[in-house]
Amino acid sequence: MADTFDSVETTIDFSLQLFRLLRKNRIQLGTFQTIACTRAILSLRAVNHTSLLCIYRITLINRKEDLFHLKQLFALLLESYRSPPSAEQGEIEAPEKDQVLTVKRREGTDESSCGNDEEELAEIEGYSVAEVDHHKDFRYMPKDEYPAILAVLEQIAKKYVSAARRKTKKSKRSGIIDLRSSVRDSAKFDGEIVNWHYKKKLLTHTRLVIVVDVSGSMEVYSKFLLNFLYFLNQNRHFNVEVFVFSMTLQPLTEYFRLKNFQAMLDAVSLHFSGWSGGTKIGAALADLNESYGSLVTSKSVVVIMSDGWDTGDVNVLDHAMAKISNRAKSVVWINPLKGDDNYEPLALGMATARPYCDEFVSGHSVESLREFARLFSA
Amino acid sequence: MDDVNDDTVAALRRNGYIADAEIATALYLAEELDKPILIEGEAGVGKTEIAHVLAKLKKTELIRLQCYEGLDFNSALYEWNYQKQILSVRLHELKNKTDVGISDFYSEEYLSYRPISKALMADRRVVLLIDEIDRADEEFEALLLETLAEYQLTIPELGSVKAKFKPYIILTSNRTRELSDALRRRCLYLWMDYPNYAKELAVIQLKVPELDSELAAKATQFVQALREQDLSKVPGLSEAVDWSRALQVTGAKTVDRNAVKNTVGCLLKDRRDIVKLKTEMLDPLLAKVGDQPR
Repeated sequence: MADTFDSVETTIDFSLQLFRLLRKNRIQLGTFQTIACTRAILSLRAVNHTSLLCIYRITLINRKEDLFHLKQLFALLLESYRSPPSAEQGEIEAPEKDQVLTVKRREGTDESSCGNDEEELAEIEGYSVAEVDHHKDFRYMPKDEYPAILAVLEQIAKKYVSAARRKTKKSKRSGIIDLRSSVRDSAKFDGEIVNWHYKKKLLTHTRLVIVVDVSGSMEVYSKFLLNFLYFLNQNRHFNVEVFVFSMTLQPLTEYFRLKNFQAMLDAVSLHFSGWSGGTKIGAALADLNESYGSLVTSKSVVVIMSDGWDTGDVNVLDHAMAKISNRAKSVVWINPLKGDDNYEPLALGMATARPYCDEFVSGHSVESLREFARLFSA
Repeated sequence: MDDVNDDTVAALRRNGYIADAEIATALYLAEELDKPILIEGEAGVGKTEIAHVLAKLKKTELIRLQCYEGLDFNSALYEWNYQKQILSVRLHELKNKTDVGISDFYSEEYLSYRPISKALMADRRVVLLIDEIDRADEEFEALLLETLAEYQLTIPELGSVKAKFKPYIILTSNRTRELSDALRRRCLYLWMDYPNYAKELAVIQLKVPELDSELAAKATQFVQALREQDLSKVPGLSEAVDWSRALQVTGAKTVDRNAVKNTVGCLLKDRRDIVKLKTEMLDPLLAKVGDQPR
């Protein structure tokens, strides 16, 4: 079969159909891009399929992740374009892209629309929220309240998102001279600069290195923490690196840039199938030091979420924690068990790690996650 | 279209860059459609090099803006030269000149050009390289939008300044953070992967012409096989070229255990990777290189 179109007109027609198909499959496509694509086709008089795909890749797609989908959709459309269906077969159904987690809070309705199914978490158009108990332990929350909790967490995270920070701020004596302000001030003294004004740079990026235990007992908490971090990560002032571990350490940072975050979380659950297989905090942290040591610097805050039940060697944990606390700006340990008033860090792992931690928070409820976020808002 | 590509590929090759059809098309379209190119890809695959070669090819100047955390307006776009303004005011005072107004001190004369304004005001089409844009803050991206889409810059005191000659704009990103959609929409997109065998061999032969061709082929096979291993830092094209040069300089006759051990620092930049290569991977990899003459 020929791998070229007969004319540029056919090519344009094909391209228009492809634009529609791409949009239908939720690949972001603006008019900027479609115009550029059409101009490119006209300018190059492209009719060859390989060249066309090349043009589409350059002009239509602006993410590596979409390249694969483009290829697939292109092949699908081409097939149907070459052999148009005799009867009305309808639109081409492309393989479904992963669902995007959209959480919208709709208040004031009844409670009946909450679903029980786990899958409902993935796609939530609207649901009812009476009121989320901000102090209740995540463990005791019924599953149908999860969407509501996520919505609340998103709202809390947004508060920190919108905290605008300027690059410089006025400073009394130190810093660099703020000429703009000094000159403005000189107007009071007939153009004579009497008072020099200074400004200094605001510290912006705190790098957060987050290590989350996803072993059996921690699943619920880690899921909410990861979601919360995802919302927080919308605030670009945070530079977040995320790892999960049960027996081994697994980097997750890359997924935080993806939009199908819920699918990612599910994949994490699948990946760590040996849920209750135990936890080796020491080994995981040692791995962090060795493999990702460059992330732990004097600018980074290391956040570890775990209940401290370590089945590995305590000495390894001790060494790893000592190293981290030496190198990091500070170490925050989130232990959901702390939510219990009678809790004392007696588990061997926790007792070993506790002296190295600058902050020790619980992270077991909405309110405690809010407190956690406050640590970085200063 | 193929003619256009072949011409561009050949021209790039003459300037020391091995390009494929996609890169050639992107460069051609950037010129034809007056659009910036956003190049993403792994480290060391030749993203920045494209800008250098393009400048060479067009025999024009390369203006480079290296992005970093906290890069701001004043160091990227333009700045008023306050010192000069104040001195001028003083001089006018001394000379008792009263026929000057505020607007006289906000003219082009008092403007300090920074890479972006410099590229827009240049007297010919220059290449503007905005390197590692993902290192700059997201707010900074917003500052670029006007330049990327309209090739102009709005200076409140002067108004909009349009580019006399639209520069070729190349942005590179290592994907350490997601870039905004607004920026992406305004650019052509080029994803650069690790090169395939033929391309990598061609690059090595071009960059290290003194290297024996059989050795170059073996080195390329070795690097290609190495990339498939589980490494924390996969060697890029630039590492492969460095390594080939190292092989040539150390006088290696073939890719064997000793040659690799002596020069591995050029290829791998992580201690654990090096240990892993020396202890586990080396023999199977060498066997592969020996087995598969291409």
